[in-house]
Amino acid sequence: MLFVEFRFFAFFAFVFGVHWTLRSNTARKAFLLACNHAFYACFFFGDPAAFLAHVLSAQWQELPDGWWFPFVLIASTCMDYAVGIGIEDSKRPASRCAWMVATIAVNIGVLCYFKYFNFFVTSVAGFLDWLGLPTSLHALEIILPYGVSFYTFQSMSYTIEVYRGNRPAERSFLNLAFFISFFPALVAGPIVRAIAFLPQTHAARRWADVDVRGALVLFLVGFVKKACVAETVAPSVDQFFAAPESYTALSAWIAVILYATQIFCDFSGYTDMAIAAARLLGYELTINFDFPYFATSVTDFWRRWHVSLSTWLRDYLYFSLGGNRGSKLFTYRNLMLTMLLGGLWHGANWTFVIWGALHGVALVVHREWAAFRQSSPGLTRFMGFVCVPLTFYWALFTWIFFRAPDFTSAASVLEAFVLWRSPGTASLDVRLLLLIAGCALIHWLNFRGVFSTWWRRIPAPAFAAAYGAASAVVLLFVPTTYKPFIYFQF
Amino acid sequence: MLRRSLNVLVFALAFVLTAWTIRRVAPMPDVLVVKDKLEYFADHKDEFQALFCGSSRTNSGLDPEVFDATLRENGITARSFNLGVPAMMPPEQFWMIDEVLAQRPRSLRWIFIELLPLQLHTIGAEETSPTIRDVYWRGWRETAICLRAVWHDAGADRAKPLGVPEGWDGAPKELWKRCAKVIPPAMATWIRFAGGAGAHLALFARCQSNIGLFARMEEELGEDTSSLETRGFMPRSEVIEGEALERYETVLQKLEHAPPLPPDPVAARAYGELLARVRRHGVTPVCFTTPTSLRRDFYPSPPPGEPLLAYNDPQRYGVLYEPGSRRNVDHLNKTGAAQLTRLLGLDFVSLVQRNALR
Repeated sequence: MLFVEFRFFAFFAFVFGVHWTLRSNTARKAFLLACNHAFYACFFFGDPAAFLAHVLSAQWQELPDGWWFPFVLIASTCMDYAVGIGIEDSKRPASRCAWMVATIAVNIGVLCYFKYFNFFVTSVAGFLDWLGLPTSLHALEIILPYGVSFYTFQSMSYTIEVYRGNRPAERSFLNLAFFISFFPALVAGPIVRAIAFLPQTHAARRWADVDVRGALVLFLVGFVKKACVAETVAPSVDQFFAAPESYTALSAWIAVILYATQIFCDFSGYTDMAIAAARLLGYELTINFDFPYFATSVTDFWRRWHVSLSTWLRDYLYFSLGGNRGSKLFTYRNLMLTMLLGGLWHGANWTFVIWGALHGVALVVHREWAAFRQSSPGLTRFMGFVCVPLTFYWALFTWIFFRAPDFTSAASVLEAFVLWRSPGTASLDVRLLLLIAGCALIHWLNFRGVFSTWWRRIPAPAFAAAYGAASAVVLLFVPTTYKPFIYFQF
Repeated sequence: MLRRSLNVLVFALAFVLTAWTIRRVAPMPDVLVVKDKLEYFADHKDEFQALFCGSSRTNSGLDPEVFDATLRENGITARSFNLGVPAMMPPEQFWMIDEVLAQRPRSLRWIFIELLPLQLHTIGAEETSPTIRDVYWRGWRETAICLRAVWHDAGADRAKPLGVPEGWDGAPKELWKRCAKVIPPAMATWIRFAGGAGAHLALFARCQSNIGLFARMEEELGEDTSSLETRGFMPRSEVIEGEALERYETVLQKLEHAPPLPPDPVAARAYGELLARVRRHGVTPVCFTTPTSLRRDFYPSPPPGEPLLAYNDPQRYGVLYEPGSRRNVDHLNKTGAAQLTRLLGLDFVSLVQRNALR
């Protein structure tokens, strides 16, 4: 059930109506918890009537693949509930540590099994094959459950915070289960921190506190990004990356820029809709994007792109490794490790590892550069002009590895993108750049704050009329079929 | 509370008004063949006196040049155009005719309407992912026909137990069957109606809100059969042979003994209303049927008092059922098309001379 589908609107209308009709906070949370799991089950159960029929008649082999994945979420929640209380109730540091290690091992184990088992097996088999050694390793038929990377990190944030003593263990199972499975953020983030979300579950949400207008605008903006922009450029990107060597160098540039647009609009569009949906239910989620393509450096880029992941990695991985509390070399090692694992988090493929490594190298270089630049004010002024395009170029460069299915494709695109050399003659429609230029202009005006408040000042009926008209116009550009959100696969 | 409700109402009104305005001013969606033919007709609307409207059987079965020549030989001067489109059945066919009439063609005198059974979803369209072809024609009038047909079917099945939804096996199926037995017939009718009506209303909403008008849409009929240089006629030279021929001969043998289909009052009423609309525009409708081998009673009955030029009788029109005249079980080839067109032309001349057309 995608946020841009009609059935989601029907689902959300029902959830919204019942949620605000219920009086008690516990009833609301219990209701939302049931809705969260129903929402998640929709991704796996297929037709609910047929699913129920097969279960009641014990025809297990007839059930759709991965039908039991929702139970992994439930098991994960139960474990973290027990671990949180176990950590808090432990008197000795060693037993607290044992609880912590156990939960990390299980959570990472689940992630490794679903996401990285086949990657590991095929990589080892490939390596052994390269060495000329016989091997009988086989990949398994494993389906990746939607959202496992997101909710695993969310639940780990809870246990780590309890372990560090930053928050007490949650004694209410309902609250914890609600937090881990909250449906707007369940399948593709943002990765909500326990420390930010759990306090919201303790007090009843008040309709008067809901910024309805802000949430509605955010939802429409997210909808446009995903349904109109990302879906429009996706076919051209797919077409190019299916056979990059047959396109001209100019087309390679167009395709990479289109992909940068697609991934931003797809993921930030999803996030906008998730934040808006949560806000309409009275809950605040973490900000995930802050105009990343206007970043002035790679360090700044990571403060603006997928913020909930980058801060998670910083707080729980980079700092745990020692952060920048040691020598320069020690800091850079930690940076590289964090970014390598961050790359791997996105997918079980060496291209993602390289993507993470490139960003790690860029962060190291930027640290050195920042130190050097401080001694040269003239250079700082000059860099003020080129830092944004340079960072954008670097982001485009790295997206090639993120999108390319393998290194051969990536090499073809890189040759055309960096050296303007390509044997191909086919070309993408240059007019697509006009669409991108239009989007970029609107994005820049938004970055400058042009659209930030005027719609808040107009009278409510005028806003309602404008919103209705805008919704009707937006629907003109919505394709009838959708691709799943890109980040669903992570 | 009242203010909030008012705002919701304002939102809904603004949405509907904007969508309605866009629908009036925006170009027609890119529906293969249909758009080409309508645009061509709009550019040449005052050049034609006769139009053929129907399915692929009309599209590849009636040659305007042969028809014009036949009429000329018999003292009637007319220029015709073939508006037939593959898989075009009513209510989509009605929409097409209404669009043509809305252009107010000054020279148009006759519309030859292929009588066809109601087809509520375009052939090949899946309900889960509707194609543009299954959406673009769904206005108020067409949706009303769909709802009437769904209601009629729901009521006609009153004696039968409620159907089991697809994919239901095992225990709940039996449970459902048991429950269905005790559901009163009136309620069963409503349950059936709600299921079918929901799908049509959703498609109506999709059409009226212009979803995806300027976006990519899935297209079912990839083959371009607009054939504007032959005035909308799609000549096909293939001749039925091999396994298809054997199947055709078996079908022909069975045709005579097939039990009669129940009459369709919804289709009859819809055709009656269509013919009245056509006449209101000062155009004479002429109903006809093509030589299908599906069933003799595949076509609905014409409204009472309407003359019908029917060619779906293998005994009477054996020449149209010769294998050499046919492309496949259901369609004529170029040779068959010439024969059918000539027959239609001669019968039409006879109707005109007898003053039998209203």
